Amino acid sequence: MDPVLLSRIQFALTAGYHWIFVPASIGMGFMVFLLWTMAAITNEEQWHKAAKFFSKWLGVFFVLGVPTGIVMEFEFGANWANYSTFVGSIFGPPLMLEGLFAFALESTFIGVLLFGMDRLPRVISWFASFFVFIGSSLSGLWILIANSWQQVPSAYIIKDTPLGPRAELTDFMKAVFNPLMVSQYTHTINSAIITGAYIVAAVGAYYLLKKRHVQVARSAVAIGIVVLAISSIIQLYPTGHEEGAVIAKYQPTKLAADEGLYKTEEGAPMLVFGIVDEKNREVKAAIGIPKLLSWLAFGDWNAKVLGLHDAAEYVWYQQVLNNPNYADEKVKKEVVEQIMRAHGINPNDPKANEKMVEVLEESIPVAFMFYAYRVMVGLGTLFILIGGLGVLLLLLGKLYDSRWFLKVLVYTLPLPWFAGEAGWFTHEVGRMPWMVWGMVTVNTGVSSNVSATSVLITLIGFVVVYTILFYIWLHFVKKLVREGPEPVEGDPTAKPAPAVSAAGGGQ
Amino acid sequence: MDYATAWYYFSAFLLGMYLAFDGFDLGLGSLLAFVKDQKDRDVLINTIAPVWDGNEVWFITWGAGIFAMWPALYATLFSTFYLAVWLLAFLFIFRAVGFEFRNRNKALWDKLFALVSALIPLVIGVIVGNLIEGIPIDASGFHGSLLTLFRPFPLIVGLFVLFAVMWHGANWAVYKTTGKLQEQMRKQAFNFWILTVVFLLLVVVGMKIWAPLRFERALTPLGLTLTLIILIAGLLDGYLIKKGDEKLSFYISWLAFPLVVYLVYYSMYPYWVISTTDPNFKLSINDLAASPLTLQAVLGVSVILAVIIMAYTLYVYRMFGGKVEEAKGYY
Repeated sequence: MDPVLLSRIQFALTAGYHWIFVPASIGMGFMVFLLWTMAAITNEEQWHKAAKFFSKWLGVFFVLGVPTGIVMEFEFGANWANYSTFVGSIFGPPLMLEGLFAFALESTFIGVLLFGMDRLPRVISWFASFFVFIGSSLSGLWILIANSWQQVPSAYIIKDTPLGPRAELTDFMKAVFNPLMVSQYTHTINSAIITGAYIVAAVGAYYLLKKRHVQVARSAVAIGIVVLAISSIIQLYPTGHEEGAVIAKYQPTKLAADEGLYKTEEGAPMLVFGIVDEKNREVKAAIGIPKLLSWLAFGDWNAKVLGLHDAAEYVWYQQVLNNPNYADEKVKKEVVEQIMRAHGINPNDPKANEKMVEVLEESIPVAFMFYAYRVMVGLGTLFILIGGLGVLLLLLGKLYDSRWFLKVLVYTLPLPWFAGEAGWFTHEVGRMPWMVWGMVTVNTGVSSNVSATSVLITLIGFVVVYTILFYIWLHFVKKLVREGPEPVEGDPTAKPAPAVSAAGGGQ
Repeated sequence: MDYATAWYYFSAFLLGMYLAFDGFDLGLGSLLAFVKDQKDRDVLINTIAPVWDGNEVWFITWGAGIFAMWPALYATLFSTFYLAVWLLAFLFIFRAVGFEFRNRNKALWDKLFALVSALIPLVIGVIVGNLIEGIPIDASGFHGSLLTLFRPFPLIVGLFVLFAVMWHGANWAVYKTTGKLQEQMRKQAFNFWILTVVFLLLVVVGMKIWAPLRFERALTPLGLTLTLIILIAGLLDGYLIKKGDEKLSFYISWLAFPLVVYLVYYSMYPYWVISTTDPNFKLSINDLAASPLTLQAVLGVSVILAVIIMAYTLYVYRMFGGKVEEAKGYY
């Protein structure tokens, strides 16, 4: 087996799994803070019970978010040692600041929130929910600073050191505010808020359908729907649009793959539908809106959008060979030759550059990207429709009685995760083969001293452990749903939770 | 003091805080193995439930600090000890899950939880023991296997850390509980205090035999002073446990960890890695350090943030202060 492939599978598995819990934790953090705020403003019991109930939901997402995140920190050193040595000076500090700025705040106050809401004053719970949300969104900020820097590196210089060539910072703030950071951050955090709003709305809808805890459920559905409507529009514009424009400028191969664009076009259309034929390098049965892609990407209806091959050529010649951020030509030559060798190309081959362009071109699975991108955008559009419809029903006073709509909410609950994972695929698979754009590929970044067998052992370990975890986690979600919120006085549908066992487990 | 040295000792602070804070909840977790009554175990778990998540942050930050400031060290250690590193990661996962989900089957989860809580400090101790003793590494790379990690000296260090956190955990339990459970914990605190002192002496002897370079540095005036303070404070704790001064005995075991970690860092300075096979092969904190701008850019802000974290952490501990008697969980 190939250790690079195994390490990639392991990283995809662990990061994808982590990504189930991250958007839910951040989004629920926001929703829980909103609920505690509503409870404080209205001083009504149903808001207070809803705030407490969904704080527990936040707890069960948080519990798996933390250890699956630690795993990724370990992975950089263990599986991607050469990558860590090459860019650790720049990639490491945001991770460290994440711990100090954000993770500490989040982890400390989630304890206060979950264990304090029964015995501490409500105002403390409100503050705790605020700190948890601030902590988790700052946590996302530092992680996405690190991630966006890898996608569009800036403010660095590649120097030769006794440990080999490596990237070093030239300006900390410029590296933090790299061109992709703001749009990637807002787009990602907003996707988390969509997820959180969806959970709250769908859980509320479930109780309305079952005619249980009606008062709390109404509050949940109402606030969930309003947040969903607003955040799903923001997801399309401006955040999604902005991010797309940055990608078009800095990662042309990713854009070409997203759109299944094999040939360079002026006034390129945006495809709504199509079947990618990777073998013949074309998209069949394509239905598209003329010139829209050119406009979305470059703000000009007739702008030239590079097809995959031209984009790969552009990346190799302009962004790699002409990269100005090298201390000297010798280091550049060393890094470039390292990349070529890692991909099985002899640097002295007169056709070496053409072969590298081919490698860049073939590293991206176009069909996969094309469909993943469409899943993301399609679901995003669906969320706008559902959110908008929900708000309309709310304004008409029919939201709580439209059983069909409540059913739609419950049955579509998994969709925000599909959209989130599809977005993450688009973002991360689309930069293949680069780990750090233009300087480290997966082949050069992998640990050279770890055997395929070792990776295989841990990979199997992850599959087993994560499956067990997911099962246990589902069990707890089911339990939370069954128990429901604490009963609101005077609400005849508020069935009390099952009796607490004598042994005092609180279950 | 140059920036690499400043970071080195800040890193010692982070590891010290980790062992001082998470140390007692790891130790308490391990002690569950000796507690038969389930209600007692629930009470013990509830003493740490609100704070353990925050405690683990120090470990993440310590790791990320090594990654950021010594990326080559981080990469070398993690890829060299690949399987051991993942063993540690899986232990952390199971611990987090065991904590929150133990209500499903308490008898089973508590056993697992105790085992995992004991293995984490053991493995961390073994890794630190390897850094102290050195590893078979030279310019051509690492010459060993997974078993290389588990030589006698690292194992002694691992057991020392395990017994120390159990002593610390029992001190915490005495501090937070009452009645029969408290009495039981007081006995455990004394037992593990004895084991800690014995293993501390074994570590010192072991350093003389297996890590003479580190031992010599620990013999300098500053090193000796620190050693003396640790020994006196440590010995005093046994007396305090017997006397029943639950507050002071906990504070002393709390303080012992940062002091020991500082002593270990001090005795290793300035070499992160020394070779057991090639006496000339050493990697200093400067050899492996990140670029100067990285070292500079975040040191000040990190120190300030660490102080802020300490402040709100202590505030939260006060919020949950007092004895825990009820056995109610939140799930």
